[in-house]
Amino acid sequence: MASLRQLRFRRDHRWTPAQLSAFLDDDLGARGRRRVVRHTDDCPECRGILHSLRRLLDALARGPAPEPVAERLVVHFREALEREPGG
Amino acid sequence: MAATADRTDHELVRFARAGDQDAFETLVLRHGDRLHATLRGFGLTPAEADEVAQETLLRAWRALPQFEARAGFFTWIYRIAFNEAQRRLSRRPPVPDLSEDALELVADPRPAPHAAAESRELTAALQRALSRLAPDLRAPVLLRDIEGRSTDEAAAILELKPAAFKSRLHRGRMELRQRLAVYLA
Repeated sequence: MASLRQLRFRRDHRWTPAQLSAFLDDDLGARGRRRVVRHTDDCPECRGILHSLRRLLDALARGPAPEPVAERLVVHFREALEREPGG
Repeated sequence: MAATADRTDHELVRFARAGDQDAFETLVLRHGDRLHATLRGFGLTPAEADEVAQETLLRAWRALPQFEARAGFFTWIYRIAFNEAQRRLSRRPPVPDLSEDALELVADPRPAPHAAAESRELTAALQRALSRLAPDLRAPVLLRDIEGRSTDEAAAILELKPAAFKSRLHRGRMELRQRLAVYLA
């Protein structure tokens, strides 16, 4: 028969993955945060998901620099306005 | 009186609403690169992103007198851009199912890449994985995680309730994570 600790582990294992974005965005209440921390301390699988999500967010934030197109957009915007009737 | 380039965005928006074209163009110079990059991130080609950015700017300029300042100016501009990009994407022929490519990426047997090459490879793989994400999952990731918009602002741009936005954001992140497993371990 499963112990209370095992039952809690299973329940938290089902719950945790769906909360990891909120956890990383600091959008989870204090109780929820404690629950995620407790479970990821105990569970290598969920700890791995959390780790890879962190790396993903870092990589997304460092994404490639935008192309310098703003001046061209302004030139085209002016040209489009001049083409309009009364422009 | 401060030159146009020294004005804050808030002041420029106020002047532009009163018909000051220089003020509007200064806003475009400040934010046009990011707007264009976001359109590229939505999956548009460089030429399509140019056209949609142009259409967005013209629409925004014409509608500025009706713009209600209590809505964020950039939320409004991005919403126009997003809707226009969606229209453009919906006119494209359906793309083939790329799930096999994605599986290939996940199951890539090569050893984990190193140092600088690792970063370049991850960036390239990230771009590929993003382009393969369904548009309704890609847009939240793009606005929140790449653009750095707040949850409320990004949800407003996509005209979603915050809870629905967060759910799509999480699904998008989890799908990217799965596609990029080899790089994120």
